[in-house]
Amino acid sequence: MRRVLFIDDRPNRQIQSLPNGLDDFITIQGIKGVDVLDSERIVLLLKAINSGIIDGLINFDLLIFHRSSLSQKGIDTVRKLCKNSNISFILFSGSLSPNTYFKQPFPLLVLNSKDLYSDKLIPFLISFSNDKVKSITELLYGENWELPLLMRYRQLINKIEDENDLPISMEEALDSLIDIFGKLDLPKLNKLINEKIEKV
Amino acid sequence: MKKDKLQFIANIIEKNKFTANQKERFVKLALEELKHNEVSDNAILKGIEEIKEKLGITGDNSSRINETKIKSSKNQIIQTQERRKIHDPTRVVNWLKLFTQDNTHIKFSNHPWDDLDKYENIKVFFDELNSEYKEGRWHDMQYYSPDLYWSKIYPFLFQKELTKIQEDGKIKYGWGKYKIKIGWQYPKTIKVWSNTNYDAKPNNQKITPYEMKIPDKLLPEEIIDGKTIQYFEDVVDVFKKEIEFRDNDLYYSIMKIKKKELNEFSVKGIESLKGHCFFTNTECVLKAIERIFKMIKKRTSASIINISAQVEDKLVIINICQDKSYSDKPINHPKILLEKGSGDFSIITKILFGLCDFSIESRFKDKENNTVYAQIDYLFEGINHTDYNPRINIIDASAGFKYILRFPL
Amino acid sequence: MNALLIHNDNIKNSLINHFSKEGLLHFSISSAAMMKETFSFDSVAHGILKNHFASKGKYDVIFIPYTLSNENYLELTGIIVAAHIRLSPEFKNTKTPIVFLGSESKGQIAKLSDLGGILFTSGVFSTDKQDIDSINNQYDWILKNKKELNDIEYSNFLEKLDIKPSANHLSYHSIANEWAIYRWASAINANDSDIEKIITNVETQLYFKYLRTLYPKKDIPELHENQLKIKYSESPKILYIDDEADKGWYEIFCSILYDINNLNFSYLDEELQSKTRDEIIKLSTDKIKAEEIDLVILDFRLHPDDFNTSNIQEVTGLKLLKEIKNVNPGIQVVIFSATNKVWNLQALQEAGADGFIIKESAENSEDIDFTKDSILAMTGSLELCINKVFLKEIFTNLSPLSDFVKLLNSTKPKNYSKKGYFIPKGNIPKYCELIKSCEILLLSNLTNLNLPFLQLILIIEDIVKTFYIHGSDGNHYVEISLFERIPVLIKQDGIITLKIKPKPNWSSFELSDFDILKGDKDYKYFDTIADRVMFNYRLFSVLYFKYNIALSDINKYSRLYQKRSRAVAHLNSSDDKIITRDIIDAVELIAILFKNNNKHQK
Repeated sequence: MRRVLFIDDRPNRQIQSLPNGLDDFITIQGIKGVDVLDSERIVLLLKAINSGIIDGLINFDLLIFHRSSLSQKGIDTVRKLCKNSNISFILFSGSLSPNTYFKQPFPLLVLNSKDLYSDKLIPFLISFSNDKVKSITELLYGENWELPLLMRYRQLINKIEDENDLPISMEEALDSLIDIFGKLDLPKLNKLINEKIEKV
Repeated sequence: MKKDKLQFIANIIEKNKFTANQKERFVKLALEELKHNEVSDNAILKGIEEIKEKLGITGDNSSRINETKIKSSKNQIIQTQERRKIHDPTRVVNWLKLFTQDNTHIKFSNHPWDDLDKYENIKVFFDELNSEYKEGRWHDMQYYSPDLYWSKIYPFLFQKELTKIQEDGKIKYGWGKYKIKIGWQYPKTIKVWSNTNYDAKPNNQKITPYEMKIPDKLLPEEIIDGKTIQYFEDVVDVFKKEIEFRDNDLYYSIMKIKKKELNEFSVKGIESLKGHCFFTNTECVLKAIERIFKMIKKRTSASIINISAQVEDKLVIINICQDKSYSDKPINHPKILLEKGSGDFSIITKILFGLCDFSIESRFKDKENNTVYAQIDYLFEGINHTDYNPRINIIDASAGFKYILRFPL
Repeated sequence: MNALLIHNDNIKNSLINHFSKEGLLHFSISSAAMMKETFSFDSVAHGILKNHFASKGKYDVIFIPYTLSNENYLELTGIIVAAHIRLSPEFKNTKTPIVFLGSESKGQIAKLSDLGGILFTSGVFSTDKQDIDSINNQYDWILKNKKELNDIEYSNFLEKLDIKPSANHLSYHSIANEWAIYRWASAINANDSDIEKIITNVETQLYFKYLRTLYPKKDIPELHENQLKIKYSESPKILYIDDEADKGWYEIFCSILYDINNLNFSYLDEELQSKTRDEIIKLSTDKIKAEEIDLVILDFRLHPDDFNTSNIQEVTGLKLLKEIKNVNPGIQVVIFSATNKVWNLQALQEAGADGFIIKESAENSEDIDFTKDSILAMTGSLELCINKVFLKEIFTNLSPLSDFVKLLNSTKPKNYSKKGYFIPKGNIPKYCELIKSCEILLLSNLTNLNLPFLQLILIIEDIVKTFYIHGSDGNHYVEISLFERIPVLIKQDGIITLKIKPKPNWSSFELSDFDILKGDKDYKYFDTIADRVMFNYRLFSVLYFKYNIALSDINKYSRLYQKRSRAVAHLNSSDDKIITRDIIDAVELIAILFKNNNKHQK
């Protein structure tokens, strides 16, 4: 079982933002492995994190925080921890900003609340706690999580074709894609991608 | 009291038979001492100047002294180069490990400054760095791994000014494999940028040097390892890769060399190189591996290569074995024994000096022309670079021609 | 080739190397940058583009891959960057042709990106080829056939772009707030660190760039200081309640109220955050009472729940408005809101809102005068309300009386009589109505106080009439009780004797008999029925003989009747205006008249 810590410093806001409000909140609370603390404990935990203390975080595999709940020091503290312990981090806020994802130095997804509190959230949390999630981008793309990876695969293949050689970082990226999808040539990739985009 | 001191100094210099250099040095030391003890006492300093004049250490004689100085510096350099270097990879790795040690400042020359109140200003950081340079005796690294020190560590971290040769334009400042034109303390770009963007700002608005955009004239000409260098953070990442194999870097780097040199060969076990992380001069190691592969390439009849890497007794041991390929040379062949300082083994040994223990295993012929299997150690503990012989150990058998590299963790 | 290639090392090296240094922009965002407290993709992208274009001129063509993200292709950040370039005049390339690089078709990308519409506008091309020859050919073709967008094509592009803000209400509210602050700050030339932050946001966020392109700043008419002046006589105590005051509105109000008009004000903002609705209401009303606030500027939505409720009666601003009016109906409340819904405004008006300040939403900005008009409406509204703050003092006195009379009205007759009130119970309902009318008139937008004053005078007249009676013997009496009356005017042998002696102007009296002889000029005024005797004499007689009020204490009420006559004669005139003091005196007098006779209490 993989553990998730899900913190919004305004629980009322969290309930309102969920598609089915309180019902969803209760469902999330009931998912094994997912911790949604009560207000008092949230306040204590945030105080600790914002002072640089990580004790409350080390047993988790995925941390989900609202940006406003963390000071810069808090964000830096979490970042250090995630880097050292390879913990995934989702940082969300109510801003207009597009979503951004980084795999290195640790999986980091920065997204806006609208995309976090979607109908994909609960299935994602259940999947993650059952160790069935390959990439936290599945939160954004649900069943279509393979699509961005296939598109990147194609981009890398195109680069090799011209250069016969990839820099190490891209070799590594390509290898991990091959691990997931197997070795695919361009025609196969094109077909797969077209099919997936059709379904979107 | 003061006059007594001056008199004392003058007497010593007159009575003792100092060379010009020694006189100069003595006066300088005395001056330093006096400056510490008697704050800005012009009479004293004037007195010293008079003594210097009397002794002919100033005026016309200064140019003579400068020349002597230059000559002696040159000699010093030559001496350094000729000074014996000791093969001690563990010692080298211990220096490099400081880059990830929590209680060092040198760590923060390689890691982003998460704590913005750690360094009040850039001068504080540089002072700490330079202090650790002295305390850690980093200067000594040149006697253990000259290329690592002079090509990477020193210019990137500690060099503050151009060396004489660089000033003369004979060689340009640049560190590492890609001759990158910017380091922490030279040129002054980081210092100047930090004065505005780090020093002058309140803590929560400080922008660290990692985020500095590299000025166009200091940017590398080419894309480095598939990445366009833009910020100082990118430069630091390049440096990190020069001193450490991380994640699967070793595997992919060797794969590249393999694709280039050994495409026609069947290379097995290369996956075992994945995940090995250790500090070393990565450029040199890969150069050595390339050379090894080139040597292997010459022997086309033996097409199976077995590569393995494992951790044992705090060492990463890399074995590269060309199956069923044997030297069969006389074991006391000059090239085997590195006698003339030329030949592939000599070159590989020079490249790997100070980085790892290096041995080969194969089948040879002894004095009586009998077949003998032996492991020849080219680099092992305690040797210096000029004064040793390879160590020969007779073994029972060998699967082929094996190259063994042992890196300390 | 005067072209720009924007890339993140995800394009073939041969192509990157083909472009000169001037024509290359490496676009990458580090994970460290993403972890900054103030990170937003748009501001970082804007910064990168600004740095590049600062020293570069116009390009003939811009090449961008669909995505500039190496970790998540579907971010399609190349399209976002292209939109930035199209919407930022400061980058000098708003109409430059753009070529997208990627294996996907335009249709596919349009499906995957909210900004996909841009692909179907003039001057936007795509290619899946990255070899140098193809790129060169593309460049040459564009130069020959499609150099730059014209104005019509650019307008079409704006229409097709159609960027939507966040679907999240709270975020939308924040966005609308920032837009309104930006427009207002521009119009009145206000600035400080909070406004600076908003201006930075508005200048860097894509959605705001879109709005600024649709509604340019240069079109906002500037307002000069003298246009923002508010006329007032006395400086009221103002309280501004808004949980987002610190976002920039505080500074706007400082500029208009304090800097230009010398009107100081206090505010509640941060204290309201993380509070429940009831706590917000309590906090606010406590402060209003403690600081004796005269005028409240009140944000409509003060609690996150307010954004999701469909029942306007639940909205915190409305509930608080009602509470404030409960404290004192005279406290002026100006509602500050972006709402354009008529039923919201109606409900607020019914609850007693005295004025409205409309926060400008993006759609309002289509009208170039909207900003100016809404600011002037705000100063107008405030001026009106500031000049009505005297109502608070009136209601401070009137409300207790009103409550008291209502209580009397609801008291059972038996209990009423037990308490020994002078005024017959039967008269109470009529006095209730008159007081209610007075209240309604005060709270309506009257230009003068004559009518409300008259309501009160009618009560006083009626009460006096009840107790100053005409005897069957022709004398006048003040009825002390059902069984006792005191003669106050005696007619005998042609002499009328008044039991209190007037002083020369008849506005005060002393205790002494005063004879008026037949033939004296005043004789005829007293030789008449009780109801026609001069009001002041009757009033003083009743107050002195029945209510035992000292004559010197009654003097201040003597002018009321004079004012009453003039008020009736000149209902809409401002000559000899009825002032606050007059109303308060009238209320006081009524309160005295409603006193009970303690002697009769058991």
